[in-house]
Amino acid sequence: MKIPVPLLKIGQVLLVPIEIELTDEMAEDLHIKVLKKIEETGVRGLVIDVSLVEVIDSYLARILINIGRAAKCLNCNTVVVGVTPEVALTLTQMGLSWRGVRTALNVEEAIALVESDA
Amino acid sequence: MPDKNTEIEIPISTEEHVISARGEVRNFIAEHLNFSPLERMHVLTAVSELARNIHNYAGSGKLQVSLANSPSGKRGLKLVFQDNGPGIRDIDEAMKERPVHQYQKGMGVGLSGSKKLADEFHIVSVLDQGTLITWIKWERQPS
Amino acid sequence: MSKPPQNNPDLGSALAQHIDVLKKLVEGDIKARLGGEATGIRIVDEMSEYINHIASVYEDSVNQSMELSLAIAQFLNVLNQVAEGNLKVRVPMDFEQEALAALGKGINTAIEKVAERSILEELLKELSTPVLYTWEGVIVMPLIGTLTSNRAQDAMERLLNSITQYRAKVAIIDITGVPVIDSMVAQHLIKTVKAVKILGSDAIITGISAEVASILVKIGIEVEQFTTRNTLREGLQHAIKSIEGNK
Repeated sequence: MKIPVPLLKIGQVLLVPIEIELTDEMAEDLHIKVLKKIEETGVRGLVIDVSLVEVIDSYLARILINIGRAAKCLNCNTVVVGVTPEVALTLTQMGLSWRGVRTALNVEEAIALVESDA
Repeated sequence: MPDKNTEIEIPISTEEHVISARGEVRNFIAEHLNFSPLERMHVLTAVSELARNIHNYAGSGKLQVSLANSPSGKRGLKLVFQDNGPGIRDIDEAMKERPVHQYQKGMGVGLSGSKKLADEFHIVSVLDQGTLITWIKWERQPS
Repeated sequence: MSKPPQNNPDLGSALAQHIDVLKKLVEGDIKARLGGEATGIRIVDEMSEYINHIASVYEDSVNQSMELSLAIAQFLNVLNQVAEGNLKVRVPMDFEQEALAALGKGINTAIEKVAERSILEELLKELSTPVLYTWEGVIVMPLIGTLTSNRAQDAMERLLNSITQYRAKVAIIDITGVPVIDSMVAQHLIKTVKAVKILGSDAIITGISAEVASILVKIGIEVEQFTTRNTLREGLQHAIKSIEGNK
């Protein structure tokens, strides 16, 4: 299934901007597509941009965390960009943690972070 | 005469409803209440969590959105999530989510998380009959 | 001149002897026979001949029957041992009856064939999960094919033994050749990685595919414990670097 989330390879980094609401099926597809791309290209960094996502609930957080953990198995580090202060505070209030997935304030910083890990 | 628009009912039976429910609640609070951006985020996140739980575990249900008034004169938002699903066998157990389960699907994280975002939270569940969740958030500053 | 039978005392004693032998035969003395002396009475002597003949046939029959019972007991004994896993036993083949000797030979041949198969299978098991010794202090275990829980456990035990035996500082588990992994095998993997660390060495997993990574994460395996590299080559480079670094 063709999903409308683009995967952009920039050097050793894969950039995934999430611009739409993800349904269960789309989230599954995104996971598979992202991992396959990492496997194919061997990129060492994954940057997921959620700046256009209004609300991150535990469901979306779980998807992002699992993509991050699976990417780690492929020796690829993940950074999530675009988490607003409100979202961060809400998730913290709910008791959720990012579990090893790093966050950054903007894409440039995210790419720098990921490249320094490599 | 009560303002008809101070109460809306939103059906939750498809995945699209989970998403659109947020939009409707956002509009409602913009029109009637004075919440800070953070409080608004709390509301929308709770709507997302609990509506999704209905969709995933009960199949379908509904959300009733209304204004709440406390005896002391506070105003707030009242969300009532109702479904006729299988019900939750042990609510306390469901609310106690162990960390590793955060990776796996489950209603507990959303349930316990939503409770933490509310000022008042009540849940009643009867096996084979359904679940009723009342979620209330008060304004900090009157509108 | 022959006397009439009923009045002949020789006839009487001859018949008595006949009855005596027949009685012995019935009671189990299969070697009982009538004496060689002819009585002169044709009909009595003929009967003696027949009785001895029948006794012989009877003796042969009983002997064959005993041999058959003995053979069945021995064969069953050996077959039971084979079923228990002892492939070194064989049945005796020295029997009077050709059919039993042939059966014995057939059974032994079958056991030999099974024994050969078992050895081959053991060898195959060893070959599929060999432990390779590379640079000083680095061992590699390439896993191939779809792993069963038993094979995985077996392989992991051998890996841990190899680490202690060869004092390996780094163990690389390469799963490039493993297309799919189930929950049991994944548990063995994480247990092994933890065990390797307890032994004081490092474990590197190489060749995890996107598919396998997703499965691991989905079933909740603590992938944070893994040090991974995409290819065996990268794994080796990392291993050597870490060993050199610690010198």
